[in-house]
Amino acid sequence: MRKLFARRKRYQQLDVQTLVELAKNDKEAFGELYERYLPKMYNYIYYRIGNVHDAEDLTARLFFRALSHIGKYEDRGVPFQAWLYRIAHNLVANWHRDQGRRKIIALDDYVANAQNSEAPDRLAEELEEKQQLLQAVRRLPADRQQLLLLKFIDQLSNAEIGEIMGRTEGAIKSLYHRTLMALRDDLQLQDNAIDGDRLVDSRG
Amino acid sequence: MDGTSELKIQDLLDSVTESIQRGENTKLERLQLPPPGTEADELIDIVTELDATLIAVEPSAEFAGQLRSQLLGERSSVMKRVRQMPARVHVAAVLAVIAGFFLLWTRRLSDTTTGQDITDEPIAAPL
Repeated sequence: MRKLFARRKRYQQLDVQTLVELAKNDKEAFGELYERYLPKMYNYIYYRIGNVHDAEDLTARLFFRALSHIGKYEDRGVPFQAWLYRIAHNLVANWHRDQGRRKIIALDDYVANAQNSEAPDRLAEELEEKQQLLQAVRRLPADRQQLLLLKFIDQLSNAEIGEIMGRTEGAIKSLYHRTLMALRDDLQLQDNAIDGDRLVDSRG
Repeated sequence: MDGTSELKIQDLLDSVTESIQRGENTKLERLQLPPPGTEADELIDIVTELDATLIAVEPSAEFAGQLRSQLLGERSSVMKRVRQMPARVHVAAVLAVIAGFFLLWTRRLSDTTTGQDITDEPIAAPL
């Protein structure tokens, strides 16, 4: 038991490349990779899917797939997490295909997690705005969603995002700009649609 | 929009995003922000909203622990597994145990009564 703890401690200090090589034959090394990447992968899947149950299911599948394929993993200068993100992306794409539709599901814990001491009306309004924004994010193409999640959840730099997504830093900057413009246009469209509905309702 | 102004907006969005994420209001104030109503100003509003909306979530400790055990083939003890079961399973198990005891008790009671009935009956004298 003491040996196991010592090994775990040693693995915590190793860099990712070494761990990946060790993980090909040693499950404890894979366990360390799992600890390091679980939060990132879970967040990516959770925000792309929108509910805890399916996010847990896909996260489990992702790590089982990674475990069974890590023996074939070759370091080609691309970060290991890019490989994990690719598996996650495929799983999410299959999930959407299986659903038969890209239905927008409210992030079920989002309301529960939102803590605000302001007036209930203001809180409800803020939550509605956030839900609208999340729905607009989830209508974006997969690469743009990934960019936003890497930027805002993982808080990575453009260079790091570029490494994961296989693009240059300049291309990421440009994609970010276009993504924000697409979001603005989508939100304006939604606002106009809501205003139009209200106008129709008021005219009876 | 020409190439130079597009690059300028990209750089501005980058700096503003970084400052908002780090909560550096003073740096944000130093940046030459665009006047309200312009395209860059609208995009900065969206950056602020994204920063407030896309918040990291944690997977539950129970899920993380279970998945790790499954991946690494770690054997969890029976008690640990029982504890990880949902509350409704616990309630059902307790009810099943109570029902079992009740069944045993009623059976035993009926056996005793039947036994008494037999002993209470007068034994017929042989003819």
